[in-house]
Amino acid sequence: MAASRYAFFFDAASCSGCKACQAACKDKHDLPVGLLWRRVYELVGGRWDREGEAWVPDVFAFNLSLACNHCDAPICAEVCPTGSMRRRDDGIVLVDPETCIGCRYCAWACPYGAPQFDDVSGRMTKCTFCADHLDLGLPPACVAACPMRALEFGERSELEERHGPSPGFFPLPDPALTKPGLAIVPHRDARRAGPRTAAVANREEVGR
Amino acid sequence: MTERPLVAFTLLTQMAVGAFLTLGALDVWAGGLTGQPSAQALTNGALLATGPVVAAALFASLLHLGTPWNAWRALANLRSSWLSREILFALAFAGLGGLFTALRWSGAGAPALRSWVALAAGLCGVALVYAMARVYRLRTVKSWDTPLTAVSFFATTLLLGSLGVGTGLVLLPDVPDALVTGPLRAIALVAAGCFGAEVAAEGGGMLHGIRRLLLLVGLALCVVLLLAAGRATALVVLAFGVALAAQVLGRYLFYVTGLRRSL
Repeated sequence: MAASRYAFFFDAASCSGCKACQAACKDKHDLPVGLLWRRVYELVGGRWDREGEAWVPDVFAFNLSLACNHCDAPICAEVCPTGSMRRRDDGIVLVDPETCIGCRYCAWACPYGAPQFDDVSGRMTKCTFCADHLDLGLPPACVAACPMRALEFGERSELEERHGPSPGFFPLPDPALTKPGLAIVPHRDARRAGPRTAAVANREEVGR
Repeated sequence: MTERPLVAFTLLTQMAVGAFLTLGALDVWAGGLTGQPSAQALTNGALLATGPVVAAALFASLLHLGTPWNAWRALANLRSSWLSREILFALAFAGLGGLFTALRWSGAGAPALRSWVALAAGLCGVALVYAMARVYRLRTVKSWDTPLTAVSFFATTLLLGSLGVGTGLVLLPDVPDALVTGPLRAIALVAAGCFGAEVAAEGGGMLHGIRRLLLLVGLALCVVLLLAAGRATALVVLAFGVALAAQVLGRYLFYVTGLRRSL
């Protein structure tokens, strides 16, 4: 039997944007200010439509919860000059703090913002898929915390079979670039979102 | 911007490689013209000046790291990381260039041996600039993943290198005027071509507009330099200053553009 390879599933249609996943991750890993291994992006957009003599707003908003997608073609590991960023047999991509030199090249390369620099340790950090929980038969902290069951995890092939491959809707990059372990049910308004029609509203929270 | 050390690292390395190549060309030219001794007088001073430039570049690269004392580990992934390869070629260029300078200054080693060392150092320098361009050709960063990255890096190499050497030539008192005029013409021609290439590749926006203006001023200065006779000291120094300002601004914009993300 092939080794299991982990992936996340996110249902944008069900997410209420409560950020319990983000907080649970921060709490479990005791992340300092500035680091968010899981981030909930608030996408907003809209326009004014003229109806007779009146102008009425036509707006939309949806959330996108993202951590590391533990890609099949992890460009972070490919470009890491020290070989500190590695993909395990079970698909989990981890950074070795012993050998990381904090050059941030992985952070430049990753289109999901997953590897993050820790000012205090001078090294890169990232989502571990809560590998310690998995070893105990427990779900990752973010998945366990989601009150809407919008976040799940599982065997990559199984999730993709159930939900189809990850679509590349805005602001997600083309999945062909890194083959992310991410299955998504898009929000109904995702098709309206584009670089000119939508923006991340909580930039000060999620960074960049 | 946390990439400031990298603006310094990439520009200084490229300037050093360009200067080394320019000095090599000058050596060949002056050697054929006048014989070895005066050729050395022409290039020794500028050659020595490239040492501190390389040292400053390598030091700047360390400032970018979160854990600088682990820097030696950057050579560990030559198999798939262009960053590892960049560091390898940077060290090879610095080592061979340093060895050549030491041989030249001490007069040790046969001339043929010195030439081979210089050739190897020059090739490592070219490989370094190529590797540096590949570092930024990440398939996930659209604004970097174009052939223009390599074009711009090599243009910067030739531009800052040639004008840097030109500045050295006009400022060094022991270089005779008769020996300076020819090389300055060639340098002005190369620099004018590089200014032109950079203008053509420049993007839109206010800061890009300022940079385009700087590049055009540099191009004009080089044209005047081409037409001027003799040792046009102020002109050469000014052209070098304008080139430096344009490339610092350009490299800064390069990082800002590439690292602007939606996620």
